[in-house]
Amino acid sequence: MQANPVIVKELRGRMRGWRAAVVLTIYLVVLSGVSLLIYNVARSFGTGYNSSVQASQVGKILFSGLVIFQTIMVALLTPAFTASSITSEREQKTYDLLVTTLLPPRSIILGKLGSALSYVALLILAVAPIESLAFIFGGVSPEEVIISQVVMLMSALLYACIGIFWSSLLRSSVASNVLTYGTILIQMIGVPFLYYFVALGMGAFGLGAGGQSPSDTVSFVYATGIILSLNPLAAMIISEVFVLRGDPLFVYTSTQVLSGHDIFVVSPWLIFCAEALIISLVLVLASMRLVRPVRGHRRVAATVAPDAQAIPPGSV
Amino acid sequence: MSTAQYIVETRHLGKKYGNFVALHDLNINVERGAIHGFIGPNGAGKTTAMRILSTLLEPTEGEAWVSGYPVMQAPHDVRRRIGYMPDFFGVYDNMKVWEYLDFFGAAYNVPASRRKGMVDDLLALVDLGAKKESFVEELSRGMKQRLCLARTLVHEPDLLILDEPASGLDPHARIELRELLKELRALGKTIVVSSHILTELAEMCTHVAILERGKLLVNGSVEEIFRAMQPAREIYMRVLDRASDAAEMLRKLPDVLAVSLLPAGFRAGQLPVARDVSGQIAGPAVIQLRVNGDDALLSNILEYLVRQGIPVFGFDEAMSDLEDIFLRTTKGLVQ
Repeated sequence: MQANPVIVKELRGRMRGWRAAVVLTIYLVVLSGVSLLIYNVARSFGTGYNSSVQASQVGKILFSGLVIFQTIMVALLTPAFTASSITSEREQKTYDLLVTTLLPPRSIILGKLGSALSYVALLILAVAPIESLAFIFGGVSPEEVIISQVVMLMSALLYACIGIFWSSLLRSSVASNVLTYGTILIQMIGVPFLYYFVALGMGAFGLGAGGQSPSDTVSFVYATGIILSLNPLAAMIISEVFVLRGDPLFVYTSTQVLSGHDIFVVSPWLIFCAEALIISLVLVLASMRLVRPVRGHRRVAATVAPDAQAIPPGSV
Repeated sequence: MSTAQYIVETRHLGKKYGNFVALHDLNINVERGAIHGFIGPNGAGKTTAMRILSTLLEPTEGEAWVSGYPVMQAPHDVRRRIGYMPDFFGVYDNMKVWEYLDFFGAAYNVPASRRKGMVDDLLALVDLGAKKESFVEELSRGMKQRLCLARTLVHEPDLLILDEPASGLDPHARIELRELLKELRALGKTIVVSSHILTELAEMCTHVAILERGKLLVNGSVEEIFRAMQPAREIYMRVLDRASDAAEMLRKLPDVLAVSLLPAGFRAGQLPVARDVSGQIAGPAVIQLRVNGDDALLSNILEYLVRQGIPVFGFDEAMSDLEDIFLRTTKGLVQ
């Protein structure tokens, strides 16, 4: 079995020369600067406290700050690798050449996605040593590190798929970039706003946490959980709050989320991962349909050439 | 490989965009081993037809087959058998010439072990061996076009569909391309090639389809078309005097279909066709004859006129070329 030619081509183009190394270096330098900044800010907060508490707090603040910064960077950088992936083929006039090869749409889309994600994954994992500085100070568990990396990788997948979808649908890279970043902006900023308005609305109609019907209140908790978890930062922060409260990392039943009710809880980071996976899958399937010029549907009649006697049996 | 006589067949093929008819009722057969030229002005439907055959466009009516495979129902089988070159050259940034061919080889499932040899062979064929390590965007337009042609050959297709391959090339590059196409035909490839410039195709095509405004006006082998368009031979005879007498004599001969008297300065091939100046004219004139017969008959006619004392000093047959046929066929439609 041979490697996906699109991945080979894309990576060859992307990794050639100094560009890829320079981008990675700049990214690491910026993150190192940000960690230094966070460290100084965290240290100034800790003045006057017991030294062991101060160290673990510094570790936690440093780690959280880096994860938040890196998640924003992933949201900004990932679309840049995919939002023009198919439109650039159209603009460079290579699209027709590509789709008339024997490459199935699956290979084209997954190749583009794979090459973009492998570079973003490199950016995310290259920061791990900086993040692990937090271990020196303490206050961060290995589970938190793993969860943050998983959520970031899932965010990268989601953003890459949003980019590739718009790129497959639209003709120009400019339009594709605008809509990709617009979609991500809605997810990053619009989702918390949506949560706020939903909570406000439901509260006004007596359906909120203080509402009368318990089923309404439980469904309210689930609805807001599903909506808020669409945002990776919100999902990570709420998960962290739950973990600090002593809740497990994955699924459990709790009376703390809704006082007086013992309800089934899925940690928000898991909900985000599930949502990101489902949305990515739908977007990838839609993109595959969009890059298929002639679908090869089989019509019942008129499939035999007029010169039919010369066609090999079973070939049509 | 299918052994069908026709590598391309279309029946009532059409494509509409709303009310605009890009292609209408195209019925065409392309023989194996032919160089079939699609000729017509811009917007004639050449590219539409080629894109349908290349599985890039769905027709709104009719059917098309390549090597016996229906393009709509079996696009994958069709793609395996065609090499398509659009009317522009697609360049990937940051890609070397050999990587370009290697990528498309992989995209056509050519095993990695065979690709290196294939790249070298194809670059040698299109005379780009020295540019193997160059970046694609650094090549001249003619070189890019040759590389694009090499790309169409990576999977050894039976049929090459080349849309306006010579557009934008300088005369030297155009000649190189023409020679390359002849070489490919000698290698057993069937070539469907389009152009809006007739002279680009006139020399190398074995078959021609003339399209205009989405309709097929003429189709067939070049010889067939000449025969069909020229049922009678056209002779231009120059006389010093007695043109009217000569015309009268000629009209009485059984194999002479038409006789016209033209001004003395008229030359064959001159357009628009000069008006008949029949009547009693004196002095030098040109007599245009349309004759249904062989060379012996022409010789007899000349001998007869000379015997009758007509001072003949010129006797030429007008040879039509594709250009004439194109102009005659598209008369009234070309703006």
